[in-house]
Amino acid sequence: MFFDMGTANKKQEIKDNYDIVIIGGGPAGISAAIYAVQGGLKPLIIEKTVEGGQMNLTELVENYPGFKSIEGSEIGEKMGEHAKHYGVDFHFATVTEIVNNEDNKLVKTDDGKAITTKVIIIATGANPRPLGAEGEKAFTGKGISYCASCDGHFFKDQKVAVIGGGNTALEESLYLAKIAKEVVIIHRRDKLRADKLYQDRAMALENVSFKFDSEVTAFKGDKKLNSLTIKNKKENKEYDEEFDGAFVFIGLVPATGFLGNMLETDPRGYIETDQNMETNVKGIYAVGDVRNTILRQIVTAVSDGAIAASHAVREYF
Amino acid sequence: MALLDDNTKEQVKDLLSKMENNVKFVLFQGENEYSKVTGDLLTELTEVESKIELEMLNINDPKADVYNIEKDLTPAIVLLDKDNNDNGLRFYGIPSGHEFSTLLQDIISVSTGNSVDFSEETQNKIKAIDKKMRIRVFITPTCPYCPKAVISGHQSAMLNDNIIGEMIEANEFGPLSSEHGVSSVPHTVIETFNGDEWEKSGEFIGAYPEQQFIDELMKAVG
Repeated sequence: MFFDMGTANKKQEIKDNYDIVIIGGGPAGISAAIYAVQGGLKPLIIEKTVEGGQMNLTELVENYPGFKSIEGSEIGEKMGEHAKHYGVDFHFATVTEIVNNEDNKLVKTDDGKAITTKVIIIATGANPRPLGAEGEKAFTGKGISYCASCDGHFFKDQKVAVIGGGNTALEESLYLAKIAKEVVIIHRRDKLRADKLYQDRAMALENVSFKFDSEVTAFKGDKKLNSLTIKNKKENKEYDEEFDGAFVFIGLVPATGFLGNMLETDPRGYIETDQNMETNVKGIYAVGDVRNTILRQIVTAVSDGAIAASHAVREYF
Repeated sequence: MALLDDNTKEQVKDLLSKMENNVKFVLFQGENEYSKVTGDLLTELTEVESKIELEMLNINDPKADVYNIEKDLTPAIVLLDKDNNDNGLRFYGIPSGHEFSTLLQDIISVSTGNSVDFSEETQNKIKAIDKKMRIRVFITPTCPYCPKAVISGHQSAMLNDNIIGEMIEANEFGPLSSEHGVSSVPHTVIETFNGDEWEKSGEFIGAYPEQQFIDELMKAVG
């Protein structure tokens, strides 16, 4: 049992102008805020759910230097505390629009706030990518989930599918294997993309099995999901198999909906930046998972945040 | 053993220094471990902050009817303001994990005169709801998105006496969760009272931003 204080620990009142507005309170945003304060600036972090962002979805973090093994929600809280210790203001809301005026920038939120600033750092991260298979929308929340830490317990002693073969799919399978009776990892390729450590751990578990070269083509059920249609690409045969639940971890979609076409992105929608993390619009930076980068980890996110804030301090103040 | 360690207590104390007026928890307990743990947790909170009062009652106490607490939904927490007014705030199950922050945030809101985060436009829409409404938010303590959904329901209740805002810990109340087909959280069920009984009039999954949330409430009251 843990006791998080995150969202309660906020300022009731925020100002209507900040030196830097950071959108997103995950590791990239928090790191940017800490470096901004060190540079003598007053930053605001706007976070839509809870400080720590996607770290809260991970049971254990084991590859962030200094912590051999720490719960995702705990490192999230620690980072939040660190920022607050330095006087960083947090506001919990969703950003709906940013406007790039000639003499300032404007950030609008869903609770009616409009904050002016000189620099914006986008650290909104990414959301789970849906598979796009038939029936997926209909059974989301009715057996299909994208968050094992949120929904894993609904499948106690049941049979669940995990779709995907990367680090997230394997880490979440390890977590689900402690709760579910059986976990079947369904992956479209002939081998996993996940790091070997996770592969070894999963293979060692009796209640975890694998279906390689397999694609889920449909989710079926009545009121709730009860089976998946699986296509074995090698044997070119399609069959239905019963499952109580399915967790989809096939990658991410960058959270850039509020930006419109303002910034240049790569074909998948990740924001393009230069080596200072600055986008094609001067004074707007992108850091962490939302950026076109080769690795999306906590350690790379905090590094992005530090670079962006340090550059902004020197360039614009 | 204490549930809250010294470091957490220190932070809670600091956080609750924002309180202005007293608040009071009325906790209804049943014969289950969850009720006991919730009692311990709230007792620890009263030890940290003297502005928090606590009344612990058995679910069979007649007062349970005053707040319309169902017999099989324990532990149940009702949060009252300084004048013992019931603003319709309910927690069913242990408010642990990420929901602990919801509990603290509610304490501060109630203690500072029901201060809410909604924009003025949204507040006016919520205040205008003239049907009896129950916003039931099913959660798990490990779900980081859930507090946002619970807070939306609770703050709606603070604004309008017709509205009850509930947090329901889905793991602890299996039958009720299954009845509503909960398998992904936060799962919000909006019910309106038709004169005889509560009727499901809206439902959504996920922590909706303010605009979408108010749209769902408006749809539910037709």
